[in-house]
This record gives sequence, C-alpha cells and structure tokens, in this order.
Amino acid sequence: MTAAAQAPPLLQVRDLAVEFGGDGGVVKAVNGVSFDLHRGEIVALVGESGCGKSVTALALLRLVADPPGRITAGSIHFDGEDLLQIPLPLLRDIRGDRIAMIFQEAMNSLNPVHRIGRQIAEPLSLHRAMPMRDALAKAVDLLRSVRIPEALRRSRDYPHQFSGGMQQRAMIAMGMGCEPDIIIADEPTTALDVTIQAQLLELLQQQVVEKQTSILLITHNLGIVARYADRVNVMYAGRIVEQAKAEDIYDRPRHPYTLGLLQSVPRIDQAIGDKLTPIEGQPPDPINPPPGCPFRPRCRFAVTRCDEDIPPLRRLTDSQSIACWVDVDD
Amino acid sequence: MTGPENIRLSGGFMVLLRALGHAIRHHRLSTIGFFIILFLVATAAFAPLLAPYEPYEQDLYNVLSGPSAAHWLGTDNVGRDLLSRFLYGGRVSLLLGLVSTLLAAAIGVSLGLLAGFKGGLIDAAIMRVVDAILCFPFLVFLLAMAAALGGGLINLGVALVLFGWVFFARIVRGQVLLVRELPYVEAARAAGASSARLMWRHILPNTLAPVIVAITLGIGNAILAESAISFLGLGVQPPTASWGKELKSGFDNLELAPLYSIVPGILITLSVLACNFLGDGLRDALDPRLRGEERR
Repeated sequence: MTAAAQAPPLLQVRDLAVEFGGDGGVVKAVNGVSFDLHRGEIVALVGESGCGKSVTALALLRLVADPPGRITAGSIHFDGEDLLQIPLPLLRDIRGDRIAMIFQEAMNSLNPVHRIGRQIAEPLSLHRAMPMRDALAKAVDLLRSVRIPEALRRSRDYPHQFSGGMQQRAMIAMGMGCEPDIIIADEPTTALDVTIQAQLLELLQQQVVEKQTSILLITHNLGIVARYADRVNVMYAGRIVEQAKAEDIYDRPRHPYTLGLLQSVPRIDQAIGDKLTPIEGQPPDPINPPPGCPFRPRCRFAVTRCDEDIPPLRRLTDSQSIACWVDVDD
Repeated sequence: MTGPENIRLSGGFMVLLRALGHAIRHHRLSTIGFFIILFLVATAAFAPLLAPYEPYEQDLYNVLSGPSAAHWLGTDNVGRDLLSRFLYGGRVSLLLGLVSTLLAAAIGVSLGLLAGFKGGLIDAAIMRVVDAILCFPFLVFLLAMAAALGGGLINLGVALVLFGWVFFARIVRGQVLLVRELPYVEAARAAGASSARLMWRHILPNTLAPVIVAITLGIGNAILAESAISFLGLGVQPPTASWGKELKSGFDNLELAPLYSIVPGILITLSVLACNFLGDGLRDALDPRLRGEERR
C-alpha cells in the first residue's frame, strides 16, 4: 500500500524543535524531528508518554499553546508551503480543511453545549461556505458513514448522550468532513475497548484506500502500529530514534530503544514461560538532559562514545534509519 | 429525567430554562422565590389595571390616613393612595434592578471574555480597572456617582451598571481561563475556527451557568441599592414612586401611618429574598455534579 516513494512527499517535516519555557527551565519537548508523509500512507509516531509525539502533532498545525510553548526551529512543508511561515489566516484555511486532527479523549474534545450534528457541520460551513442546512445534511451522511445508527436522530443529540465509542466516531466524522489530505490522529483509540478500536482504525484505513488520505497515527500501542501503519517513526526524549517500514521494525529492530520496546510487549509467537523484559530506568529529566545520547543511561549496548556525542539519524538501508552509534542487529 | 422534551434543551438560553425547571421542581425555597418574583412582576406589570387610583392623584382631605375601604393601605402625606403608589413604585424598582443588572452583565461578560481569552496586556488593563472599582465600598461608590452625576433614576441606573459589571467580568474571566484550556476549544481551533468564533461560539456558552446565578443575585442587590440610595435622597426624585423612596417618606411619618414605611420595606425584603432563593436553586441546578443525576 505504500505510495511510490519517488513522488515528493505530501508533508515534509524537517528539524522541528519545540520548547516549553518557564522559570524552572526550558524543556526541549521536540528536538530536531524530521519525517515525511506520502499520499495515501499511514505513518505512525510511537513512543512512551512524554516523548514529544503529541507536541509534534500539535506543532504541525501550530497549535502549541504559546506561551509557554514555542516552535523554535524547523520547517513543515505542505503542498509547497512552509506551514511555519504562512500567515495565520491562511493556516486557518488549512486547519480542518486540508489537514484535520482527531484528538484523544473524544469526550472532552466535543463541545458539551452544541449538538453533535452542528459540530460536525462546523468545519464544512467554515471552509466550504456551505449553508448550514446543507452542512447539517452532510453531517448526517458523515455520521452514517461512521456507522452511527439512526444518524438523523442522533445528530440532534448532545455529546453526553453518546457513548465513548460513538463520540470518537463522531470526532472521526468531523475530521473526515472536508475530505482532508491529511488526518492527524493523536491516540484516537486510547481508552476504548479493543473491538471499538479495531472498528475505528478500519474506518480510518478505509479513508486511506478510498480517498488517498494520508494519516499520521500517534500512538503508544505497538499492536496498532503493526496492523495498520506502513511506516513507523519511533520517538524517544524529543527525537526520532528509528525510522523504518512497519514490518522491518518488528522483524529487525536496529535501535536499542526499539528493541527494548518490542521485548516489553507480549507477542503471540512467544514461547510460553518467556518473561517480558522491561526497559530499566526512567526517561531523562527533560530540563537537564544528560550530555550525549538521551537513551544512554538505560541502554544495554552503550559504548563510550554515547556519553559525549548525540548520535544523528543515519541511514542503514533505503527504508531504515537509526539514531545510534551501534546497530543492535550486528 | 431525560424525557423526549428534555433532549433538545441545552446551550445558552436552554440551559437557563432547564435549570429553572429543575430548580422549581427540586428546590423548595427557589419554588417560593420564583412565585414571589412572578407575583411581584405581575403586579408591577399590571399596575395600571390593579391600582385603584392614579399614583399622583391627591386627596388632600385624607392625608396620612390609616387603612380604609377607599384606601386599603391608607394615604401618604399629600393624600395619594399608598397601594397605588407601591404598585407603581414596584415598576420603577424592579425595572431598574432588571435593566441595570442585565446591562452590567452584558458589559461584564464581554469584557471578562476578552480579558480571559486574550490575556496579557488586555487582561491586565481590564482587571486593573475592575480592581480599582472594587476598592470602593458599594454605597460610597453609588453616593459618589450620584453626587457627581446628580440624582435621579437614570443616573442611578448608570451608577449601578458602572459598579455592577465588574462582578460579571471577574466571574466570566475565571470561567474562561478554565474553559479555554479544554480539549474541545483546541479541537475547534484545529478545525480552523477563528479567535472570535472560539470566544463567542465555543467558550462563551460554557461560561454562562454562574453568570445566570449572578444575574438573579444581582437583581436583588440592585433593588436593595436603589432603595438605599433613594432612602438617602439621591435616587428616584419626587413625585415618582419607588419602594426605596416610599420607605424614606414613610419613615418620616412612621408614627402617623406605619404602613407607609412598613409595606415597601416588606416588598423590598421579599423581592431580594426571592431573588436570592431562586439564585440558590439555580446554582444547585447548574452544578454539573448535581445535574448529572438528571441525565441518568
């Protein structure tokens, strides 16, 4: 399903850096992140809590709250323009229309005082100058397409009358309304049970197949990544530490952190009695990161060089890169 | 409680109606308050029909008379029928309380929304003005305003608005600071909504519950303030009647016609109490933790 790599990427993120500054010190939440997103592919951004994956997602649409956050460096090229440079009114036209965002916690991402139908219709009336009546009719169609039963009647409900899974489906309907080129899905299925998770992700996958939409999937669930993503970016402490095709990540992880992640989740092909191996230690203090590689204190493979120099992302094969001085495959 | 008729109620005005219904059904004091207010408003509204005399009609042979068949509550010091005076006075007192509070709410809500949403310099500027006004004791502020602008109904109303908006601004700003960080505001921003749209469509409706409570309490306070200022002689000017002014005139004739003073006093007390009862009930009804029971 991977779109031809020869076409220029739809979204090209280079050296993105985001800081959160306070009196207590500056946190470099995202530190030189680069990745591509091609048309019609699902790219995953995985990592543990606090690794900067959600901040990266927010930064793509300049949604990082300022203050305290600042996008300090980098470029985000989308359709020939740098989203970090264009004026805000132009960016607003892109938000929700060409790049849509689906948030975690649908319960809190829907406005409690507005009807579901009206909320789904809002981007349509904003971006398509659609009369409210038509936008509401389209909203009902969208609800139907995410398999909300009795869509017409339920479109007049308020968010609290929806179950968690229905709320998340409504959020997806809202994101799909303007047929965006890119959907950024920030942990879209956290806190939902697995059957609902599968339904929702299949809905998103269907978008990719039917409309050639690209999806940036942000998650910490490696099972989801294995099943749905084409390519994977593994993040640790604000940096991308490994980039690879999804199948390569599982078959041949090359970065010690990726390897550690995979060894810490159960696999169906594991021998009975095998113990899971957790990654010892904690992520580094973001205010005072250690010199050298941020994963160094937890790394089983560390060499002396890791104490001094931060490893840049280096290419191992056409489709796999790691930010590490060693290659665990060796 | 979520019957079919309740499903559509929410947002802005509908929140108010639903809360009102809930308060009247479940909160005994606010039931009483609601019907007292209804009664007082009705008598004021239909004063021309209910009043046995014109409020300015004098009967100089009957000055400061006690209750009689002709004048149920007696007459005042120039022979005007007190019942009629009180009915018409209610129009002035209630209308002033309502209009000045609503105007104060409109100004306060707008400025509070702006301050909370924009933050920074705008916030600092607005809130320093609020602090400055709050430094004055309420009555001293009103007296100073009356002294500066002169007495009279309109000027009293202006003073009430100038003082009253700060409370609404503070309430709304606090709410906005909470609401603007919520994910649905972020989601609306990510969907391409402009700042104005975020403020008015997404944030404002979620800040109104405490404002509604503050309005009911504010009306009571405004009625009380009108009475106090009129009692001190700087509010409503003769020959217009208002409860506060009648209270004052009656006070000067307390020995001859006690009802002249006592009745407006009771009316003021009743209306303020009723507003507070209703406000109390509304606050409970609008509290999400209590409203949650109704959803199930």
